[in-house]
Amino acid sequence: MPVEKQYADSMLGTFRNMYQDLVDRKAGGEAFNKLKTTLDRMEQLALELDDLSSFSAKLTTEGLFVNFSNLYAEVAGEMAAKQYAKISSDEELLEQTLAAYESSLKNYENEPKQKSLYDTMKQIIDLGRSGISYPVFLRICEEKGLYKLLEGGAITREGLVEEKTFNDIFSLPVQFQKMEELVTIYDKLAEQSAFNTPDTFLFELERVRLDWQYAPVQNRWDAVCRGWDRLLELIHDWLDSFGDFAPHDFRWVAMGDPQKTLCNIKRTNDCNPGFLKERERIFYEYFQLKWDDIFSHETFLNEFNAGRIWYSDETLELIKETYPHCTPFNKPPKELIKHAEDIYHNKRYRRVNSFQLSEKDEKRLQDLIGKEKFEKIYGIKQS
Amino acid sequence: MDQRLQEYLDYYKIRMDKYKDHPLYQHSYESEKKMYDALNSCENLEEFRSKLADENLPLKNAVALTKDKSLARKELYENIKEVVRKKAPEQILAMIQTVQSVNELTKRANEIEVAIAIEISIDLLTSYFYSDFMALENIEVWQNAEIPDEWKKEIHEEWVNETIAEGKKLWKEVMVPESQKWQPDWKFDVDLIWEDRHRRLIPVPDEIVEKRIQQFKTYRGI
Repeated sequence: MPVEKQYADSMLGTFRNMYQDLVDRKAGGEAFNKLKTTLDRMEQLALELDDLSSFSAKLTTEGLFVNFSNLYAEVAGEMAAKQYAKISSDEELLEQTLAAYESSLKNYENEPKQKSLYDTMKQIIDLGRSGISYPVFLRICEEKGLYKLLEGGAITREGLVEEKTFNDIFSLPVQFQKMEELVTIYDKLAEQSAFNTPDTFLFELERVRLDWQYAPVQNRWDAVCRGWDRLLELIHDWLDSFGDFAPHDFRWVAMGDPQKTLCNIKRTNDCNPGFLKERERIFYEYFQLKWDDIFSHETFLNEFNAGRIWYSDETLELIKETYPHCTPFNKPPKELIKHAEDIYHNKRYRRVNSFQLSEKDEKRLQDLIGKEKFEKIYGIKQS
Repeated sequence: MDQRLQEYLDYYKIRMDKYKDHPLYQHSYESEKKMYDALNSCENLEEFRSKLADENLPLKNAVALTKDKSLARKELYENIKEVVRKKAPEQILAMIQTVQSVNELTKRANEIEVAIAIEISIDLLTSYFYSDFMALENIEVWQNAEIPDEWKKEIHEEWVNETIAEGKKLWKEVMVPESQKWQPDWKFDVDLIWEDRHRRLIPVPDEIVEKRIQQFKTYRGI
């Protein structure tokens, strides 16, 4: 059974278009024939294979992507060489160059985020049309670093600052620190450059190094969060399992099977303290952190201030009060159970506005990504 | 000197000077300098065009730039112990000695990058181990939890055995076949976990990693 058409089209569409582009330009020759054979093989695999991952793996491991790209470059190169062989003057060379830029310019006309690229390309075209010779055009482009700007220097800094701001809005401190360092590196490299824009290759090396440096930091951060989150959940569920509302709570309800529901509740009553003890041991083994360390730990404080602690303050305090009682073969005191019931019945268990941005951060995000995109994602109108 | 020739000379000087004294682009500077010196030694543009073609100076420029970038990448990957990623610039550095055209250089560099990208993807399958930590922790908790006797069969035995059975099934029926689409004889190599590029991403002490490796082997039936 063939790969689903929408996936095959999505993966092969670009290659089909590239092939058609060469057909329209009346390409021919050995490399072109090999290109057609490569595309035919891709199409054949789309019909023979029945899942997307096999298809994707085959396209890569048979080298079809790279072969197609190389052959396309070879055919396009041969056609360009023939065309340039007909060009006998610098004026014709300049005209060819400017025509290519003018054609590309249309792609960036209505893209506000690509304004920098558009402006640079326009600058190059205006320079070329100013009556100077081809070598003078080339020299001035180099002198002004216009090719460097085309590599996307100005856009990249904006993108970095946006990403840094995004991490700040969503309280992602490790990513924020990384982006802050990356912006500093960007500016330092830009300062060293004659055109106030960093060498793209050098910058990318620095980005690779920084990603490598921060990956374990992020992993540890995430693991610590998961660790204490699990401890809080075990205690919260344990206390609630003794509440009068437990038989109706989704955590224990087995649809259409009240016996199973009661069994689920009893299991939590009896076993969560044992689970908690083991989880605490693992948490300590991993990070040398204990229960008492959680609430002043940077990970917890960050999540708390970011509004990502689901429990209300009252529920959190109740969890802390419950903790010393959550030991194997023990039960919580009646007053704590009553408190849990009161919280549940009056719906005070959840932090108000948890997992929502503050008004100030919503505005910052909207300024960052634009009103249209913001409303599309969040579905609310900002006044 | 012919004005057009002087204009070209000014252009090639700018190209040369942008690499001057740049620690990353020493070979590119030397190559651009040869281009500039070649032009400077010519009486006219036709003579320069012949020299360009005869000495294949554009290819030498492309090779020099590729060499500079590959050396930088190789040094970075060496410093951060990314031994698989390092293979691409290493192989490119070996290849550039033999190319005859810019097209061939581009083509063979692309082929090397794709081949190494596949090796990197396969190497990254080592992350199956850390991805399994949640399941392994669950198993350890269920096996060791202090719980009343009435629950021991269900939790110590049934939950543990069912989870391990599912883990083995998924590994055998899905994860290994999927991985073997990229490398037909792929098998998980536990020794890779200790390689710096993998170990540094697991935020727990060595003795825990040791323990989890044994649990992982049981869980996945390796």
